[in-house]
Amino acid sequence: MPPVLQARALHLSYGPAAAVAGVDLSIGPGEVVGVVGASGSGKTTLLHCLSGLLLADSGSVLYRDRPVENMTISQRDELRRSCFGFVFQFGDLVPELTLLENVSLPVRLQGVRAGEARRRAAQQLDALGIGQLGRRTVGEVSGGELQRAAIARALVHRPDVVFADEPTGALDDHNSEVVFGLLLEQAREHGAAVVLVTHDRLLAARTDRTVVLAGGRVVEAA
Amino acid sequence: MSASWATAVAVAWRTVLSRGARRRVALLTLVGAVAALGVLATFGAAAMQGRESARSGAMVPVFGPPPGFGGEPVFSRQGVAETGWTEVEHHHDGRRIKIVRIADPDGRGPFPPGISAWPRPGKALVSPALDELIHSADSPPAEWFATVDTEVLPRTAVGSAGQLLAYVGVPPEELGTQHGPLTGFGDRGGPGFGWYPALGCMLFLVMPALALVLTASRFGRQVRTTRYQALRLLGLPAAHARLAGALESAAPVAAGALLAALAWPLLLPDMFALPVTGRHLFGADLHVPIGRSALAVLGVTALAAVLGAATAAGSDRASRSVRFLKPVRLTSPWVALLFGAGLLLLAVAFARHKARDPLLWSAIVLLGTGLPSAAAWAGQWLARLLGRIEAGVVWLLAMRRLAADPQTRFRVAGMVGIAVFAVGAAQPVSQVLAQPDLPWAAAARAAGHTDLLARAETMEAVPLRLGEPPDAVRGLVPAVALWSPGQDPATRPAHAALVATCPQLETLLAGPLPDCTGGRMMLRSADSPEVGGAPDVGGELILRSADRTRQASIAPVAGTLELPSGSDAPIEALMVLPPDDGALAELGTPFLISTYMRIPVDTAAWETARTWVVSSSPAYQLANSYQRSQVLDSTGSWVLLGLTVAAAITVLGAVLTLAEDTGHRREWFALRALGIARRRLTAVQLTEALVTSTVTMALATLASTTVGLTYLRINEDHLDSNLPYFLAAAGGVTAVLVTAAVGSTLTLRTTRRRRHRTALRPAATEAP
Repeated sequence: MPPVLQARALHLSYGPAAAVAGVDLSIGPGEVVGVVGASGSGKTTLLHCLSGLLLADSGSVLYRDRPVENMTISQRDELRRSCFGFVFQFGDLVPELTLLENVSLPVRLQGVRAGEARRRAAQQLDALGIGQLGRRTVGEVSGGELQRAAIARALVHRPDVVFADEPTGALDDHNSEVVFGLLLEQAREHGAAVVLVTHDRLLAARTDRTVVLAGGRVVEAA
Repeated sequence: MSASWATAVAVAWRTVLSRGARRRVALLTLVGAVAALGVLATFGAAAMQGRESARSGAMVPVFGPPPGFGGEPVFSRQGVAETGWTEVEHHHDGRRIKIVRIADPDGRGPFPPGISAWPRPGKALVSPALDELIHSADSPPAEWFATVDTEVLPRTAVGSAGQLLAYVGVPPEELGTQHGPLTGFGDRGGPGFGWYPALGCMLFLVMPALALVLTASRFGRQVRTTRYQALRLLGLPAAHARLAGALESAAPVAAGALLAALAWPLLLPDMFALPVTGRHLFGADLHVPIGRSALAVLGVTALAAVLGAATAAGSDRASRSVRFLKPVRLTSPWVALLFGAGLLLLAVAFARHKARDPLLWSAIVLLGTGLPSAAAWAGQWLARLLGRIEAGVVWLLAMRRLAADPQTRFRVAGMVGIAVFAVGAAQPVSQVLAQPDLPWAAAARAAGHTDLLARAETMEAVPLRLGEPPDAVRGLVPAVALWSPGQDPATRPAHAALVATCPQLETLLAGPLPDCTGGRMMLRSADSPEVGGAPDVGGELILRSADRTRQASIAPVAGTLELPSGSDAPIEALMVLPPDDGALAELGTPFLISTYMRIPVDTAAWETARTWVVSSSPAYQLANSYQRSQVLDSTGSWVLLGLTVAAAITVLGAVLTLAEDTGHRREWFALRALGIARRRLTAVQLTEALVTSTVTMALATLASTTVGLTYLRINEDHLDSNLPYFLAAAGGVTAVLVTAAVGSTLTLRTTRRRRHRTALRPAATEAP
């Protein structure tokens, strides 16, 4: 099957330091790819380049053979809105909204009516086992529950690719195991590819494929 | 000093001196200088007010009892040996020119401060500002003083730098005064700029300085918090962290404030005009005593320290993520207490209706200081209500952010509120302070008038000597005495009439009169008794010749003498005095002499006529209804000044928005990652700013309108026009829109400019 996302000779520097230096990467539909490396190896920058949040200095990112760098800002917004999902280390939900409203945001951004968006969000929260917490705000749930809600928000609109940046970095081992398992399970259920940035090689080992970065370069792929 | 104190101070000091903090330190120094200059200007203005009041008070003449006191009044006192004094005011280009005619036959005085001898006849002492005006090209006052030898008064002999004052020496026989002899000078305790207005005005003036320091103190808050979080983890007490934060902000601000205090005396020229208002000031009047200068420096520094300490308070929290776990609470309604108390005091002041009521000024202070908090609380409360409406993602985000975070836009709202309040509150103040500076001729033409009915008058019983009038004077009634509405009934003249020759009246009234044979005639109300008693100003008017052989009735139609305000319509012309007409001398003593002239609506013609009047009869001044109404309505320059202040504060508000929203970068990043377009985030910011600003504007407009109405009520004044309030409201709306738009644009432009680098990275990944 053709890859859903490709990176070709990506290069991006912060001043004299190259954060990403000539990375080639191909991600198939439903594939779970782990990106590991030490701090400062360029993992997060690569993730942001792949998702169109950052534009590389050179090289290309192709989403279903369409170069992301040639898209306008609004086209990239639309791409993230409908085809991508994001999970961050601290969840980064909107603190002023309830979990249900947070999870319904991606659906509402696609123009779905508020009631229908809430229904889908409630389903997604149920699937992640936190349906009863929908009316709570971010400040009223635990870190693990917060990350589950973040996963729900990343998957509720059925994206092609989910970008997860250290999704378990702020959790204990037990919660880390639960959240990671739910992420993989739900992504596979929805057929979404996952790009997982982590420094935990044990977690990375459970992905379909692992890419090791060092100094912005891919030094190992398995 | 304990080790941790020393550590805190050392960290703060190293931070101030570090290369990375250069821009922030430079900004804080600049802000310290500007804020201190603002405070010094406020102190200077207060000092100037005191100095000017003292000088003005010392210049007030004191008269002895007039000859014939308690008996028959005297028009003039030929050959008297005492020093005599009459004064009259002329208006030129919106400025009042006070001309004192003084006769001091023996050179004995008395003299006010700064004057050792009165001018002899044919000579004049003029104030510096008037001297400047006299020597400017094409100035009518130059013509007035063309034949007089002038000498400039020292500054100790004038009330203020802008005062247009002349002491003109005249022979005693030409003086013509109802005053008694001049016995001395000194303050009679007249109305002045009291303590409460001064306090209120000072607070308004200090507000921008406070906003500046507040804005600057918030820059770099994130970095500071992160730094002190780390030190807190190492065991630095919270109080010491706050001390370090205070030092970081206060040190550069103190340096800037000190420089400003040292530079302040050097910045003041000897005599200068304020922009917009055109008011002239003596630089020396604005000098601030050392004690107050020190107070300004210390005050600005202390404020910066407090705000700097407050921004370091976030270091008490262990990590940034914990901030998201803080429960969201509605701000306490007690924060609106000051504002509510201000409204209450206003209501009491309105009911008391007492002149110079301290309650009014206390209320202004309370309203001004309470407005930002009240607006923040009201905005948060309203957002909670509005958040229940399903209206899309932008609305949802904006309302929830507003309802959950009272700090968001808090200061912007406060600034806009102050701007609106400043504009609104300027209106009643302008009633007292404003100078007429509007194009009255254009206003008269716009009202459809081609001719003005001008009035030359004096409060003194000085004969009007009008020779050949210039062409500009199309019609003239040489002597008309009016009954002033404020005149004491005990001295009210018995007869009511307007006296002129019949052709003069026809010219004046712009229409033929019956039985007009060319003789002098009286005009009076048909309902008024012929002799004695108060006249009825209504009803038919009888036109009668002086010998009473001819008589005609005419209707006193307002249109006969078409005047905009009607205040000087002949229906109020009640008394007869043709000064040289023996036939009418029986009618009694005049109190107020006026002369009507029909003059084209043209400023050049007006100046020609005025120059003619002044040169022929210096005691008289020429005015028309448009000019008089302008004294009440001439708020243009003050509204402009208020709008300028509002614009400056709006820019500050935008900078505050920028400073605050850079702290929200992580939230914006997460929303952008979800695919929310920039324009939607702009819309979120715009909605937030608009809602809070609208709430603030509503409260501020309520406050300023109430203040204005109360002020007008207790001063028994009135406005001829609502224009100032419309202008104030328009200024407020403009300020709101500009704040919202500029604030959002600036914030998001930062994101655009840096999109290839760190702007889209989560704040957690940034180095402190």
